[in-house]
Formats: sequence, C-alpha cells, structure tokens
Amino acid sequence: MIFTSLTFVLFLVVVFSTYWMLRRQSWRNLLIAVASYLFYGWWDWRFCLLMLATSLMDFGLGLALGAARRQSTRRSLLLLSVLGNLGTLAFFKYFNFFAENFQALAGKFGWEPHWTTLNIILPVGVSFYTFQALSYTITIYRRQMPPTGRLIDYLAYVSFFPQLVAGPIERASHLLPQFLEQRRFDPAAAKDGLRQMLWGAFKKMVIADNLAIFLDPIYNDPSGAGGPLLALATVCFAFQIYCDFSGYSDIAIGCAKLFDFRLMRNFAYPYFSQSVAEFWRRWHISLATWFRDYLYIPLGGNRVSKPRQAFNVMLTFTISGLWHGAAWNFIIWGAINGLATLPLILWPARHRADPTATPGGERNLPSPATLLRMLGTFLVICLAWVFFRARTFDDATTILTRIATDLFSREGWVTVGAMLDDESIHIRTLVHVGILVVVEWCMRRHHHPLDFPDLARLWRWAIYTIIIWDILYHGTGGVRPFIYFQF
Amino acid sequence: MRRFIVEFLLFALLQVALLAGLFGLFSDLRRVSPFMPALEIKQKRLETSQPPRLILIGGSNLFFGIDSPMIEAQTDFAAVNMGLLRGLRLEYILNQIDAQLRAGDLVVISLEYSTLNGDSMGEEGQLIVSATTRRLANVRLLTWPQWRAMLDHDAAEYLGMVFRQSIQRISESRRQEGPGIEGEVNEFGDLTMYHGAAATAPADNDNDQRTLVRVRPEGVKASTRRMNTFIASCRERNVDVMFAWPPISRSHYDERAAFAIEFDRLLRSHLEAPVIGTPADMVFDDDDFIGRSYHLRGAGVQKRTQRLIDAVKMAIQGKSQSGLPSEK
Repeated sequence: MIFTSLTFVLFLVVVFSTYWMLRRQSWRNLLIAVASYLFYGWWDWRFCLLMLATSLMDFGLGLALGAARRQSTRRSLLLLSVLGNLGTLAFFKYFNFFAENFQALAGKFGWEPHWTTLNIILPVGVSFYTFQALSYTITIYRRQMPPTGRLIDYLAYVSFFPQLVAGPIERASHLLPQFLEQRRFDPAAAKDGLRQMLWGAFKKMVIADNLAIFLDPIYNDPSGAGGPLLALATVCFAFQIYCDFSGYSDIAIGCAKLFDFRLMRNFAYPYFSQSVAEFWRRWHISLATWFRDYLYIPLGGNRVSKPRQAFNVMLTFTISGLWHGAAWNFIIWGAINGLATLPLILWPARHRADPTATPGGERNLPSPATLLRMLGTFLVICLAWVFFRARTFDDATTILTRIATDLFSREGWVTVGAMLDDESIHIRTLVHVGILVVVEWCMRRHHHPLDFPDLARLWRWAIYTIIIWDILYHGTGGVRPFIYFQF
Repeated sequence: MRRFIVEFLLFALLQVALLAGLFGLFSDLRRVSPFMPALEIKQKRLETSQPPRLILIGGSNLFFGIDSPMIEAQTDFAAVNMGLLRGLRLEYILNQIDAQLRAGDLVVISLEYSTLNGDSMGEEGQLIVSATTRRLANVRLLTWPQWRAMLDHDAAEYLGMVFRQSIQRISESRRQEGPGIEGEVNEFGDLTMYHGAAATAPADNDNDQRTLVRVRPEGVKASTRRMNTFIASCRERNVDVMFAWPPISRSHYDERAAFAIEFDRLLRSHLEAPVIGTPADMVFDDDDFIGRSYHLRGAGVQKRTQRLIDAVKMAIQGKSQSGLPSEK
C-alpha cells in the first residue's frame, strides 16, 4: 500500500476511527498489528509470512536473552539473532550479488563453479524491519531494557505500518515502550501530523515524481546526453531522492502522530549542511545513528587511534552503502561519503554542527562563506549520488567524465534550453524545487515547514488548499512507489 | 477529539465543495473519453430489450463498424451493439453483459487483436474509472483486481486529469468543447457519425500502431480461458456464443497476414465456441477505413455488417464455420 494512494487514505480513515473507538490499550495494539500486516500484505501476502517468522524468532530470542544468566549464553543468543536477521537479509537481498561476484572472481583463477542465481523477489522494506528487529535483541543484550512478554505488542512494534517499509528505523528502547504506555488523543499533535503528511505528499507527488520523469530517461541512457544535461539531471536527482525519501518520512512521522506515537526525526534539512559529516547527521538520521550505535561505536568509535578510526569510518560507510543495495555502485557511493567525511572526523572542527542546531546558521541570509560551504557540500553529495543513481559503474563513469569534460559546451546548454522549452512541466518542476529551497530555508528552525499552529485558521486553510490544488494540478497523476522501498 | 473531527470534516467539505464547483463549471468529461456517453445508451438498450437478441461485444471495431438496423431487418434478433472501447479490457466487456443475458440470446464476441493478446494500452484504468463514474451502478461490474487498481492508482490519476482539464479551461479565452458524439449514436448503440458518408479520414490513425504487431500465445490462451468460462456460463443459461474477427484493411493485412493466421490458429484450437470466418474474411478496402484498421466508415460499415449477418446465419444453420465470402 503506497502512502499517496487512495487505498491508503481509506485505510487510514478506517484504522484511525477504529483505533480511537477502542478503549483498551491491548486492543489498540492488536488493531495496529493486524492493520500493519494488511498494509504490508497489500504488496504480496507472502511477505507477511517472512516478517512474522523473523518477528517470532526475535521475540523468542528476546525472552531467552532476558532469562539467560551466563554471559556466554547471552552472547550465543545474540549471535543467533544477528545471524537469523542478517541471514534473511543476505538471502533475499545479497545472494545473487555474492554468487555472481564469487563466480567472476573464481573465473579469474581458472575455476568455474556452476552456481545458479536464484529468482528471488526482494520483500519490500526488508532492510528496515530487519534492522528494527535487531535493535530489539541488541538492546536487551545490553540490558538497556527488559524483553517484552507481550507478543502482540512486539508484533505491532516491528510491523508498525507508518514506518514499516522505509523507516525511520526506530530503536526498541524508543518505540516499544510507547506501545506499552497509555496513549491519549492529542488534537494538537494530530493536526501537526496531518500538516506534516501534507508537506510530505507535496514533496513526493509534485517534486520527486516530476523530477523522475525528467531525469529517468537521461540516467537510463546517459550515452546520448551532453555534460550540461547530465549535470542538471544529477542535481535533479539530489532533489528527487530528498523529496521522495524525506516525503515518505514526513508522512510516516505525521501518520504516527495521529495514533499518539512519536517517531524519531529522519531528516533535518540536509542540503543546508556545511560539511559532509554534518550532512550525515541530517540525512536519514535513523540509519546513520543505527550504524553509529551498533557498528561504529562497538568497533571503537572515536576512542581508538586515528588510522583505526579512519578504518572504522570507511567500514561503516561502505557497509551502509551495501545496505542500500547489492551492487558495487552502492558500495562506491558509501565509500565516497566515507572519504568525504574522514577529514572532519579525524580533525574535528572547532564547532560541530548538531542536527538540532539551526542548519545554515541563525542569520536570515547565509554569509558568503556559509553559502560556499553549503554549495561545496552539495556538490560532493551530488558526485556521490551519480554512483547511487547510475544503473552500472560504466554509466556512472560515463556521466562523470562527460560532466567534467563537456560541462561548459555551448551546444550542451542549448540542448538543455531546448528540452526545457519543449516541456513546460520541467520548468514548472524546477520552479517548485526553487520554492522548496526557499520555504525550507525560511522554516528551517521547525521540524517541518508547515509547523505553524498559531497562524490564523483562514491563512492555514488557504495554505493547505493551495498545496492540495498544487498536488492535484502538478502531481504526475500516477502513484509512483517510493525509491527507498527497493531497499 | 470531537473538535478535531469537526474541524477536519469542515475542511474536507470545503475542499469537496470547491472541487465540485470547479468540476461543475469547467470540467468537460468528453475530453477525457468522448465515447463514454454511448455507454449509457448501450447499457439501457441491453437492460430493456427482449430476447432473442444478437448482442455484439468487443471494442470500437463494433462501435464504428456495425449497422444494427440491418441486423434487425435481416434476422429475427433484436440487435444490441455493446462494442465501445477495447481499452475497457476483456473482463469488463464480459461482465458488462453477463447479468443481463437471457435464454435465446446470441452473443457475438469480436475482440481486437491486442485485446486477445492481453496487451496493455496504458489507459485501461482511466476508462474503467470513467465508465464507473458515468454510471455508479457499474461498480458491480468491477472485479477485485479492478477495484484494487482503481483505489491504488487509477482513481487518483483520473481525478488529477479532470482537475487539470478544468483548470486549463478556466484560462482558455474561448472555451472549446471536447469532441462530442451526442446525437451520433443510434438507439442500438452504433456510432452513426461515419455511416453512409465518405468522411474525411485522419492522416494517421493510432489504431494502426497497435494492430497485428505481434502474437502473444500465452496472452491469447489467457483470454481464451476467460472467454471459455463465460461461454460455459452462457450455455448453462441457453445462450449461444460465437467469435467473429474484427475488420482490417487490405494493405495492413497484406503486411501482417502471418500474425492474423497465427491468431486464428490459436483461437480455433482453444476456444470452446464457433469461430465464424477467418481474419482474411474481414479484410476490406483501405478506403473503407478511418486509418487502416478496425474503424470502418461509409459503405464499409454495411459490407462488414452484411458479412457478419451471413456468417451468423450460416453458423446457426450449421452449414459451415468458416463460410464467409471474402474480397480477397
């Protein structure tokens, strides 16, 4: 079920109404679990079986971890959970990638093993809920919380539909207790949730989906495009993936607020970052902090020698790349981000930007130096996005080579001008990107740009109406899946 | 909670009122699907006519290319031409008549080649939403996958399309009406716009790009399976079913005869109802068409109807299952 479909709107109305009619907390949790499995099974009911199986495994292991006294037993149980979850992920997501690469490598040494690749359907969102389930057993292992003995609550925690397929990846210690607490309807939070959902839908349907129409043909066949067009397509992709993914997160967080759940913030205006390290504290925060807490810090984090620290950073970013997809392009994307982050990790600046600090500083207009730092960071991020979006490594190198050698060709810019002239929708989309940047800059002190509860109702309703009509008019009309569903 | 719901409902009502006002004043559904007004005429005819009836089902090849009064004049059947748009897809086309069939009826299925293949034209969902919104009772014709597709994407696409057209019409200095067919559809459901007259043919007809471009055996078999289920259900109700090929121009057929022959072979081996005539029997002169395939005009309509009547009569008499006279 896709957030921007009519199906989801009807589903949400039914679940919301039923949820608040139920008085007992346990019934509400049961409703969330059932609704979440329905939501997930809308893609393919077989996916539900996999999620149920891994959830039952982690629930059982959690109870066993809670009861175990000996450290060696606890370690074995945790290892079982890690192997079970990552094994599931490896099988569904990485089997073919490793099989193909192993065969290619063996072939270089004259050995030709005849492994067959499997025709495996990747269950939607498997990387997200697997990490969320892992967070549960690791948290219990670390004695940061006791295991829950309530199966329904646990199933509802793993499958919670607003964030099931593309996050934010919640920590057990943050989300699970919310299923155990008494929840009360908070009109202010619910209204804020609806506003955040509206902003997310705008980003996804008006900007991301229209940018996809522009850049998909270019990136799917970059051989015929000139440097300027490829550069523009790359910048467009930066905004497409931002609007697509942060749009999803906004809808997820807003939707959770309707049920009195508080999900963690996932994006904090990342393109206003002044360094790549800051970018990674503002982009996909739930994944970045997951890797920080469960991989980077256990590896030694900042408490080890500089070379070891550099190794830890590179390993974390590379694995983060691999998490996104079973392809070398993602690994390279992760490595580029790691390399770009290294200088600031190894030689920290005097002041490290906090994700809660105002991005781009407190001034209404950024200083030239701040602006240059933001643009420089954006360019490095765009460079990495080329590998993320290109279909193959060869395509990525073609795109980068052409941008580097052909960016200032007059002919290339004429082609861009002609293309934009022919398709007014592309110009309108670029205007929307401009509006997005301005609005987000002006509202960057807030969690989302529609956070204006004190504005007079007339103005609020006028703004909502403009956005709804803009979605109806400029939206592509189709309901395109979110990019991160494939991960 | 109550205040939140009241406020939310007020806002939703305001939006509905604004959109209803916009659509009421400025929308032109003919631009979305100009043929849809004919659907109501056809369905009304189907619901009110009495058996024995000759009910024609298929796509626009029937809408353009049948002269129903000729059928009534030469046979004992009351004619009902349900052919409208192949984009409605086989499932919907069959469901449309299923509940209305009576003992003694004869159903002639004349599907376009792409429908037999199960090829998507990319506009099916929009047409089904359009047909449903045109007549709300049509929701009962939807299968579960169609419901799902409608809720998942088609309804939103349709709403967006109508909205955009309405907004665009506000800005038009002189409002253009969409291509309408009011007054051009007779009581039997035939499009009479091109009957009798040598109407000017558009230089390029999109149908040509989609006719006989390939054969998908698995698609044809799936379509045949669906038709066989329908045929079995008809037999239980004492309703006869036959299949007739759609018309195609001589030049088009000459280019792609191999595909047509393969379609014919596949259908004859799998369909559990008589196939009356061969694709070659439905070849007409290029001048009889708007474009080169499916949409007949002028004398072509009468020629095709006559061949169909003759073939049906022969099939009923059991003399032959492929005895149509051919121009080839």
